Amino acid sequence: MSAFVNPLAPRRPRAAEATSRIRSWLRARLALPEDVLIVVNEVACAEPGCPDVETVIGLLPPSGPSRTFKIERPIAEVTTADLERMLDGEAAA
Amino acid sequence: MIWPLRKSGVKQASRAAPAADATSGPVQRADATPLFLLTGFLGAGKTTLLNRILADPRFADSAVIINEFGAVPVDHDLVRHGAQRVTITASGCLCCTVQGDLRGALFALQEERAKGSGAAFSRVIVETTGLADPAPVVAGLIPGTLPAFGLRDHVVARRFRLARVIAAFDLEHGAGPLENHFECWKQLAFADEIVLTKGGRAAADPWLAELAALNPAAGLHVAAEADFDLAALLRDGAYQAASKPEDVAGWLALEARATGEGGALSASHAAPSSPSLPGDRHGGIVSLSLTHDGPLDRNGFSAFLHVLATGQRGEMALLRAKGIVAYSDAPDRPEVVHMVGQKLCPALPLDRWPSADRRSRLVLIGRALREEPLRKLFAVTRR
Repeated sequence: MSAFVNPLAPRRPRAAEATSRIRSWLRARLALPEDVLIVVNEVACAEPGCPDVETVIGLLPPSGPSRTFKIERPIAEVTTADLERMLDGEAAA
Repeated sequence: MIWPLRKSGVKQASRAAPAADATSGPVQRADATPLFLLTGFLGAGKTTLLNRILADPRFADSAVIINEFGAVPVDHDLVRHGAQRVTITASGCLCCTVQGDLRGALFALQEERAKGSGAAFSRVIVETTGLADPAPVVAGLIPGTLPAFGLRDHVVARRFRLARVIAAFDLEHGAGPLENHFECWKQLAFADEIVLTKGGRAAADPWLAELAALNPAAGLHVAAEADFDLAALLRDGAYQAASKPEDVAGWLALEARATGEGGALSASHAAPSSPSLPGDRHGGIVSLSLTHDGPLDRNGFSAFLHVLATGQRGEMALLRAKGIVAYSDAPDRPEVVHMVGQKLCPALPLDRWPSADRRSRLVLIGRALREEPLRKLFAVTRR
């Protein structure tokens, strides 16, 4: 079988794939109702001591306070373990 | 001078007060002037598309706002305009300064119109930088999403209406940016219309399903095809975030709440508020402007471009280069030069300088650009 991979073939954005995965995981893990908006964003940072790119996750209910989290890596590299640590950090805060 | 494009991100997790639903702000006036946001990643063909629009007599009554990124303006000289108003916002990327620069430019347009000065216009076209995050820009143009400051912002909200977001997508080079640059995906996700550039139907076909999956509601247009109709892009309307992928509503809502708490949760980059800012503290994307008051040596500049195209080392990665230069053998006939990634595009000769600014100038945008070696190398072209 040929191992040829067409470099010009359309590729889905890695961040889009990861966003879907993060959203699904959080909704199931926290049993979030559908009306809670789960927003995944990527923020570039130029401040000393910060990583180049961070992932910001927002949980926005239709009313009441929202929750936002930061993970110090790009969206495409966020793992389930990162999400667990993120939630553990909130619980410990 | 190298300026960082990136803005400070979130420094700590926080709880924001609830904000208004960014997708359902106050209803805008039907008689407000429609505004079209033209976006697309670096080198996607935004300026070419804008030139095509401005060359069409049906859209001669357009005012244009161009968001320059580099310290030395180039883009506005690449736009060939006739009677149209062209406003330059050059103090930083629109997505970082939307509440200042864009609203300020729109307010100035409205003030001039009220005084009856300048050419009349019935639409506004805003061309963003290739790295612009559309979320804060769109949020700033939907009344009620971001805070309005004073009379200026209220006038802008009353007199201008975001009609459509148009995104250019490069069929030739778009795969890499789309896969690897978050902003590229966002630009396409916010779009009402996606214009596929640098290829015909055959090049577009493999992309249609992928782009439709990313943004099912967007109209797809192939700029090179005979049936491409600019009027379909510039149809009047009112931007509807609700018809976009679910991420769009989320990004706008996050923008609204983040602005409410005085921080930025968007993937935006810093306005170059001070030229003394260090250029590359994190290997982030930066711009580097190179200028020379006189013409360049043709062979020397050719060698310089060759080095840019082939000689990148380490973390340095050139995403885009564009400029206007003249050579010592033809100082009155400048050429427009472009690079997309490391690919050098054919130079476009001009009959004359497009403005009084006759400096040879080149803006480089990329990651980890090494200022001193690049300046020294550019200096060779002056001899």
